[in-house]
Amino acid sequence: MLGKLLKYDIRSFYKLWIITAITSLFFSVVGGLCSPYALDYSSSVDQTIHTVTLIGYIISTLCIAGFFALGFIVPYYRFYYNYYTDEGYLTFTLPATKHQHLLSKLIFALIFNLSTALVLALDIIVINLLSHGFDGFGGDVAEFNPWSIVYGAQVLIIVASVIVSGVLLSFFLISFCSKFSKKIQTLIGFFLIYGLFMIFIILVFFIIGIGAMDGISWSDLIPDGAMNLVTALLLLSVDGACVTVTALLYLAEYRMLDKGLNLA
Amino acid sequence: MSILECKGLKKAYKKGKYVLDDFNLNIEGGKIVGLLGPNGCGKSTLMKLISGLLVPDGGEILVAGEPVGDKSKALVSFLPERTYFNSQQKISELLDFFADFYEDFDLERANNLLKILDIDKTARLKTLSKGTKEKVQLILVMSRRARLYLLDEPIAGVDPAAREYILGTIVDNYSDDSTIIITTHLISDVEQVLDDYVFLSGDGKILEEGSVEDVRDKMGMSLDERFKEVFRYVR
Repeated sequence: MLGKLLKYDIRSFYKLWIITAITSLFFSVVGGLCSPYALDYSSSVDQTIHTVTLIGYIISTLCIAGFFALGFIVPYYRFYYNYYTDEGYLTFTLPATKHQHLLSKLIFALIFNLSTALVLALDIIVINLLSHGFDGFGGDVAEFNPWSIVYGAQVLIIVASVIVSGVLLSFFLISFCSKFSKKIQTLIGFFLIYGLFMIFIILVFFIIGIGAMDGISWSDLIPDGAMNLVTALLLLSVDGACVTVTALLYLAEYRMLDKGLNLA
Repeated sequence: MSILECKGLKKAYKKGKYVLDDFNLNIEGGKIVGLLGPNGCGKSTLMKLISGLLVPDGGEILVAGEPVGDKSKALVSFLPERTYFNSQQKISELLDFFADFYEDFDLERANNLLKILDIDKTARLKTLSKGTKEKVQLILVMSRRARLYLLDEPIAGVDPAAREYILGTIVDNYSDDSTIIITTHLISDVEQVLDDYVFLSGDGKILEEGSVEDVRDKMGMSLDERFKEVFRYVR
């Protein structure tokens, strides 16, 4: 049943997502080609070219931002729509457990949020490649340290937990707000809170992108000798905390869904 | 064997105000039962509890011996009083959806019923009138070979000809080993198809229940008249 739920969730959005992803990549090329002239305010650039390319750059940025918003928001809109509108009469009477419903929505949100983030990162890379060429990329390759593998795996767990927790927190906020607010109030409240989380995610990707382009070596950020057992143990405790928070959020949202339909 | 058992069922929407209070009901299989009562007496609430849309505050519900959950939902086909489909969907997509999720869905029956009503399967729901949407919804619900059908106000807000069609569809597509529970205010239209009835009082309990035939033969009145007599003094 989980597979069927996921199938229909993905089917509801994948065509639109692919079209908007391709469109955003197209506009990233446009933006990349426009940016050298659009962002050059010196007198060496013809005024007309500057104006046209500036408009092109702005439109490209807005289109990419629109794709980004769509890719992140639609899974949560669909969660709200399936459970907290009249469509809930169909959803809650399907022969599926609450765990299957929740996992389906969680996997659906993760697939499209992560895919959207990857396409967005690609858009940023394309824009920078076209405006700066390969000069903007580089940096020292960190010296291999056996603890790097452990460190990398632990950081991966933290990142994965944060992402999954973000999705579950969004679901929980939607469920929580729907019990006390009207539809529009719920959506506004959700977008405001979720917007803060998304700003954080954008900053993370931006920093990663900037770091890669400016040749910063991530090994420079870690003190000598720190990649050792102590660091690994400290990170392990952070892993544990993150995974615990994720599990608690899952349980909290499951309890919300377990209360059944919540319609006037 | 009982198809539906409610034991000590409790449900409140506001603290201290129970819509259903220590509610007990036992319905045998193979019957069409009318769940009747004044507005706010808990008819729709009971249906939503049985179908798993709501969670009771106390008590137990068993559908063919199964507690309410994913297994009981596979046995129950629920028609709510409102349309609940995504209006952007096509009817053919809904048919595929139901066939995919419900093993007891009879696709051939659904297609035949749509053909009889001359409803285009490729049409999107948003292009249909309210009455046609309700008929599509009824067709999808009655095309399942469920053990228990819950029909909440199936003929409310439709013209007399449509009412006759809906009742005919219900009776024609109902099998002897299934049970149908109907809630309605239009008792005179529905009583012709009912086997049994249950009158719910405003305080969440059963006021009266029995056979429709007994009301006619022993009491010498129609079910509609009996309802008016019972609820004349009940508020």
